[in-house]
Amino acid sequence: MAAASVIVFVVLAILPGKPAEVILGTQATPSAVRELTDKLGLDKPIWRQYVDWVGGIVSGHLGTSYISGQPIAGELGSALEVTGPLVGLGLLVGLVVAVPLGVFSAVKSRSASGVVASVLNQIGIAVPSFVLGILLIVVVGVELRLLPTGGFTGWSDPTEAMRSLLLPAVALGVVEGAIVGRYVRTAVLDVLSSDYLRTARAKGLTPGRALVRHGLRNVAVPVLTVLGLELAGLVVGAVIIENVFTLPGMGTLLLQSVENRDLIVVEDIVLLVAAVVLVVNFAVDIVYHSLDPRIARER
Amino acid sequence: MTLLDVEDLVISSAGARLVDGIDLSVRAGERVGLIGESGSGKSLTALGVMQLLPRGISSTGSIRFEGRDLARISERARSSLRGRRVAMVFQEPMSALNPLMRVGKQIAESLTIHKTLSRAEAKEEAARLLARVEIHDPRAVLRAYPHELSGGQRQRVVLAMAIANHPVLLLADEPTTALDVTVQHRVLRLLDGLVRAEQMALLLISHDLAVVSGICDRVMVMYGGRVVERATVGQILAHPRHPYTAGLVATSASLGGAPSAASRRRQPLPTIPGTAPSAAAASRITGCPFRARCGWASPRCLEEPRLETIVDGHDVACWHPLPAPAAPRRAREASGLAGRADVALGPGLAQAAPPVTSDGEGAAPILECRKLVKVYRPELARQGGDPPAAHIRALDGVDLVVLEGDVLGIVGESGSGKSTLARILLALDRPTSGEVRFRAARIDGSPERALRAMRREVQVVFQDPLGSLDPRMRVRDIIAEPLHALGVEGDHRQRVAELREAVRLPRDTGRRYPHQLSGGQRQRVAIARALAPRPKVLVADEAVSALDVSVRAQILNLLGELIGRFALTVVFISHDMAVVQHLCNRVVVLYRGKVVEEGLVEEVLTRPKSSYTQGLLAAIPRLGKHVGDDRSATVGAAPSPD
Amino acid sequence: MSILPVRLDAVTGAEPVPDEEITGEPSLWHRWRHSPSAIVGSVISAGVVVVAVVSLVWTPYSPLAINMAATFARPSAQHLLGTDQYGRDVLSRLMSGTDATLYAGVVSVLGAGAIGIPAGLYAAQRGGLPGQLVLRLADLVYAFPALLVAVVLATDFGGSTLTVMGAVALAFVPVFARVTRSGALGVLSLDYVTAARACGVSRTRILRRHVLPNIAPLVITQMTLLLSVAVLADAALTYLGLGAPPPAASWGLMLEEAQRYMGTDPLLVVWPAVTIALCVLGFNLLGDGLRDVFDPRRRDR
Repeated sequence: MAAASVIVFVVLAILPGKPAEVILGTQATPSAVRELTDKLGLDKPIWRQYVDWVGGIVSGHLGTSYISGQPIAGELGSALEVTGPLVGLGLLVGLVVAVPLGVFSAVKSRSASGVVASVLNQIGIAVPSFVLGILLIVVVGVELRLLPTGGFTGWSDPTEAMRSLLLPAVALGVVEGAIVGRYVRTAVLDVLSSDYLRTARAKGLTPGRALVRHGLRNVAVPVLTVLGLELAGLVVGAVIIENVFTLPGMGTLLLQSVENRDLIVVEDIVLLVAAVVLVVNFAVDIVYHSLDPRIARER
Repeated sequence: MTLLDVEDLVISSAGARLVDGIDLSVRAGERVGLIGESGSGKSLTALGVMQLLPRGISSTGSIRFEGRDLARISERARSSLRGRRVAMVFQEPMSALNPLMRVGKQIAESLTIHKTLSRAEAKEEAARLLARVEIHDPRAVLRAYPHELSGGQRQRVVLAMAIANHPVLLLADEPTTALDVTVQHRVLRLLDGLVRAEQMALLLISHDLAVVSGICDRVMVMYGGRVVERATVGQILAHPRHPYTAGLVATSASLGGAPSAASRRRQPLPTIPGTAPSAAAASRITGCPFRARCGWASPRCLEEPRLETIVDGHDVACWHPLPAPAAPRRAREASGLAGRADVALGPGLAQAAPPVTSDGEGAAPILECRKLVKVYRPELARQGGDPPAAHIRALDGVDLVVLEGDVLGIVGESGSGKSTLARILLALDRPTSGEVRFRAARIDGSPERALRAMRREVQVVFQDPLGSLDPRMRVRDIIAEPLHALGVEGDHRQRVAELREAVRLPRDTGRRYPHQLSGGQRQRVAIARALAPRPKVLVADEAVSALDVSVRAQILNLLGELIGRFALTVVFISHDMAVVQHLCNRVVVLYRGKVVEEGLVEEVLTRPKSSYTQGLLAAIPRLGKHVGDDRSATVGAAPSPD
Repeated sequence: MSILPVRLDAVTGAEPVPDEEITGEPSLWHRWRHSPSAIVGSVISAGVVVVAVVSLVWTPYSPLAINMAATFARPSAQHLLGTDQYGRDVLSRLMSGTDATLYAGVVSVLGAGAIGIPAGLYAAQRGGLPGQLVLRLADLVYAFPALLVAVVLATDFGGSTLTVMGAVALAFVPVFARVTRSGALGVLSLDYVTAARACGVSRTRILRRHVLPNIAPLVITQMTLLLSVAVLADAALTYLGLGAPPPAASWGLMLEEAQRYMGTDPLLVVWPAVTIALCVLGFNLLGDGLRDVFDPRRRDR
């Protein structure tokens, strides 16, 4: 984590593109640039800037946006109010898609219906979430006019907020769900051909009950690992989807800041996402160990 | 009363008839053995009876069990019979248990599927069952996960699940093949005892004639998806009628027999030439599947022989069965012929094998190690600190001297450290402490450059013939690899051709890839590669263990011949005392990283000093020796729980 | 009774090999023909490559030619897929975009491979602390999805094709490192490597002679699968404005522009969407198919 923060910072700070120049525009006088650089603390040595930044983060102070002069914590907070629920909803949609699709296409892998499920699955993986989002806008929003095609009115009206998030979440979740569905399928196929499932059936369990009682947990272990990775995929996907649906979330904020060279905001968000990825992976690791006694012993 | 009556069972996959119409019957309380090599279809037959065939494999034919045809009734009805009336034990005890479920729960489940029990009652009953399969601390094992148990314990757990509902028929598919010899012996004896006590019928599937003869009343021999012979154990052992069975009996008898005298050592074993066909290949053979390997084969064998009764209770599927009165002589003749055939190509080689030069005195030590200790630390890679208790002492102060001309056997079960020892002798691994010398020069810890001379003189053959050959290299390149690597001068192509002939590989094998060869041929390639730089010492790590019975004898004969021809010093590492006894003049017994016994083979075999060796010897399954006959096997056995 | 050996080798002691084992496992070609994924994937992928190559020398119109007289034209004989808001020919722009996407994808995959594969080999061969270091570094890089890297690069350099390629390549490096390492570890633990070591074969020669040829299928499969991910990433990044700036003909940009006019002409969204999906599907299927073909144990899947 610490190493991650150093990388983010160094890469952003050392490489060219002086924020002060960008902020003030091309007509800025050198003295004005110097003054602003001073004010923003950009004249200090890099390590000093880094220490300030990290110190700020640790104490819960994310710094001040170069552009708006607002504390970043506030901006980020309101952005997360959109992004957080979006990711959560996307994950839900993803699971609803992945589990039935994967189990069905594995159990029926030798019949036509299973093959159809598999093909649908492949197509689901091939359509990127933002493309699906645009298509959903065209069909559901523009042609059918069922749901809003973009924008977000805030949580003061929860129903409307959920309506705004529904399409983006579906776009996000279906694609991630298709990817996870493939893993579910593989895991179920592994279990179906396992010796212990055969033992379970030799004991007298019917195929369905054997799969439920002995299969599910064994499927869960490998699927959970990819789910962790896919959660990271969801966060990244959310950044893009927000731009498709013009939702005022973290992704929109991030891209605005890139355009404006608002370094501190970019740094904070990039680090936040990287942190989420690392934390999720760590959490998955822990759950993984608690689910699988074999790994637990190795530790 | 006939319990199980299978008629015309055909098991096929993608058009190939893997099991080609077999009949099989088991009476109540009867113990039937099903013998066959890999690809014979024996395991599929068992799974077919249970109707638990893998996906993509289907069966036809009738399987009448207690009057009902298992192939016709509903899956629900079959499920209610499985585990209650007919139960099954599988080969791999590790994968047969659900890795994520506690043992107690898995056993309790066997009970609660078929009858209503409270949780406490089920647990109580599970503990009782574990005690029944002679598990020492049932309460503790109930709470354990499968990976926390030893192989033998796991197989006992599987057995406990199988007998939970007092089935009338038990199918056991190679139940002890994955286990060590001493553990195998104890599990077999337990199985034997349970079957008697519960008055169950048993269908025991095995590749090992000795194991089957130790438990069963009747035997069926399968070859190429067909049953070729069916008789009582006594009839099969005394008068095998099918040439294949005769070869099998002869091979098993010569290796598993009484300790042989030094004079018989390395004499050619009777073998069956050739290799058993894979199941898919056998399904394409018309006529007798064995005819390509049979010395008796005639044009008539192009027609498929039917299983016909010759004498009361003795059926054979062969156009030229060995006749009854002369059977003992003919059987010997049959196997003798095959044996001679194998030797015929190397004129006079068997006779030319020089008498063992060193039975101790006079010869100089060539490989030597002293106070060898190897401790494996768990990988640093794992996050979190591991307790030092996890360290494994694979070798614990081993002293060993290999004299020039020695054929030294190193015998040990899993965990004895024998493979670690091999790697250290080959300077592929460094000992934690102690020293290794080759011709008096230290080789432990030497840089690779300093080992070149030694590499040229010490070569190795591994267990798994497929794993030890690079799948993407042609056979001739594999054999030539050491020549290039060690910078051996001379015409490499010429040398490769010489070696190919020495190990009796057909001329066209040079341009083939390993996966295009049979298991026996692959091992011949591995041997040829090892001999390429004209080594003095050959280290063979379980070199014949992965091979089918009939091929094993061929490779042993080849090794015996090559030892004589090239005056090789051999370190022969094996878990199999019978093989060591045949090939070696001296033997070292390893147990848990320590040498517990060493000496001349005759000495150790006839008068073992350590109790471990005694147990090991008693545990070896021998033809016609009932598994319950000898109690001494456990006396000196490992103090470990299996 | 006459004793007529049917086959001579039955008594010569040489092992007769059953016919099936002479031909060995089914050839790669045979397995390819029996893998629907491989066939469909190869066809689509080949089509994509052909289109990309053709677009280098010929497109129906110039992808950048503006014709304000024919904006938002419906598909017709003149413009097979119609025209966009500036009257540019959609088909020509899609073709030209294929070239751009494929170029970016191939460069980033090969670039990532050039770093990741040696790193993975090194980690597998070395083990110990240096190997661990490489692994940890890969884990760290893994925490930065391509999008984040692209964002960072775009902040510094502005959006460009180079930004996209750099970001995607960097994100792929750890994937290559991990795949190569686990594959190489598997091979290194096999007996034939041990046997080679016992013959005095040097480490580098073992890597070259034994490890590389045996992990090649794995790596090639991975490259194909990553190519599909690269196409996805490329489209997403250019859509977000982090890639080549307008008026370049790229799929992501086309989508972005089409979205603004979807009220007027929804078809403009559909064409690039379908193209992207088809391209990704093709490489994905090809990758899956290759895995089936190379690894017979997975054939049932």
